[in-house]
Amino acid sequence: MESDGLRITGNWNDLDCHSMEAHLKRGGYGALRQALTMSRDEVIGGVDGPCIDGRGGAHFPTSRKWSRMPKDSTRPHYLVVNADEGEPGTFKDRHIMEKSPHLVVEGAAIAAYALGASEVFIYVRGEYSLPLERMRKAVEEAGKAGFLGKNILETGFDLKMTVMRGAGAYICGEETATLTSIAGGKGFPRLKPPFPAMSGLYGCPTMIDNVETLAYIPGALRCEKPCLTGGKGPDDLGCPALFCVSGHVERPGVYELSIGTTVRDIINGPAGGVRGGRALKAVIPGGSSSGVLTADELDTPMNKGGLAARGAMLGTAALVVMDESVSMVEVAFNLAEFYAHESCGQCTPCREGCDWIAKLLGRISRGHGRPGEVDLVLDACRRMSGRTICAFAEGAAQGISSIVKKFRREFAEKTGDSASPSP
Amino acid sequence: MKVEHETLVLLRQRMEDAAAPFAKRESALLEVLHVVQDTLGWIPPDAVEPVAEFLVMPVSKVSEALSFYTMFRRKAPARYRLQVCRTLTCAICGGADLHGVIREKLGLADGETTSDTLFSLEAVECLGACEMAPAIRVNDEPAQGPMDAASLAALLERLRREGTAGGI
Repeated sequence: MESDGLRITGNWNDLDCHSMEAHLKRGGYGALRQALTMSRDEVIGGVDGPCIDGRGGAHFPTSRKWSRMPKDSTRPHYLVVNADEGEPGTFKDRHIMEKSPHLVVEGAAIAAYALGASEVFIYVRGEYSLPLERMRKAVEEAGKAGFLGKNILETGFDLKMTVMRGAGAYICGEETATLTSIAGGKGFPRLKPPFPAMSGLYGCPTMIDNVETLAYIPGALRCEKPCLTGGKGPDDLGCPALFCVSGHVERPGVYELSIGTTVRDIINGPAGGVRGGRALKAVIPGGSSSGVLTADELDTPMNKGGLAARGAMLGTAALVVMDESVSMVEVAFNLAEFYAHESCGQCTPCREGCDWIAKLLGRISRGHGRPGEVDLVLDACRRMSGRTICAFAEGAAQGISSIVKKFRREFAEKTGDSASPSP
Repeated sequence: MKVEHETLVLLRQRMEDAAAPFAKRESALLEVLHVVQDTLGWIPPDAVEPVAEFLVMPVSKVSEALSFYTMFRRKAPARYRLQVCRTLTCAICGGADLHGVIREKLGLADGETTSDTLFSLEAVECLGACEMAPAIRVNDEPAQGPMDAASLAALLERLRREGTAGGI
């Protein structure tokens, strides 16, 4: 990959990579220094391009999102760093915060400047004790060094950064739920519009960005185009991303690779192949809500277009690899229970739907399924989609129905249904 | 719950510190509940009103948050809270076996506590430690893994030694 020095993971083999010294040694806070000499619009333009997008899973272009922030409002602007990582299979943000916390602080400071924000909240998943400790320390050190606080680097820019803990609710990773949680209360999503850029935290213009997205911002500003922002198109090889690989592989872990690398190359390359040389059965490519790929689909490139053609999504780029020993009925049931547990309960179709689907799949997995129930699961998935406030129900439906559709035979064997889909 | 005077003074100070960064007091809700729990081990029912008063918010909103967020404990915890991940990656990598070991060694099923209150077992959703699957988390420590029957038995043995030596 070109521009190796700008990779997030460039110094992750060093034991002290999380320290301020290590960050400074890599030119850390140079991009912030540079940004503060530019106009807000120039900074937004500086990160424009296909590589910098929403790495929480939506992959919406960051510069387009940022340019929605009002330019002439007199109300305070806020930036929220979404560090409430919780999508099953995903652990990249944890690694970034543990190993490169200053990169996140610097990226967030640059973003805040571009957005006209004077306050940043970093909302860290409650269970992430080490990331929390590292982020708090980084914010404190950056403050002492004059990279945060009043009159940063004598440019007149003031910025306050507060690290706070979530408390164990997957839904708080949904951006409007993050905001209701920070405002003080249970984390219920709310309808959009109004979008947070217009009316977010405390009713003020707010931008919510993922940890990985922000960690790529300093590199994007520092390098000459097109190293992190240019390229030839959204699926161009060359945009770096962190891929989480877990499950039945020899070397599970986080790997920084180009978007568009094929699933097969990721599994057989850095991840060391399927564990014990067994046959691969299925791969979830981008977190549990992203759909599933079969063993015949391993040459799919890990990009939006390639995965969409297989009925899946890039999502959080978290691959869960499953070998032939796995029952896909059990997999669907496991995820259904996750969604039933994590549905916030606000919208009836999601609250009841997720619970219902989990009960149905539980019954099928125990061998008590009845004819017609494979289609009943799919029907329930379909009926809760598009009928709720946030995208949770769609994620649950996509994750589960994709497994049922692509491995229908396994489900049908347990219910006495036909293995071919009904018309 | 009976709390020593010094503990209350300490807790009050920690609550002030936790709330200090927030211009809007209500935004400190989760941080304040965390420090109550970190100090007392759990959030006893009689802490709800003082927290609400401290944050100038309705008692109902504090109670609502307590029941919404799974990390807040509304009863006194065991000395060692064993949190075994049950979600996909851990499940396909032998997570269920860990439950088996804990059942065999401690006689615990999901949600139960040993009679000496040394251990409790909880099946939790994805800990974000999938590269260490199957993973387990003890109290508020970072998750650890990959665990197998032998390493889990050794962990339980070590905790038991530490727990009984330290006196509970």
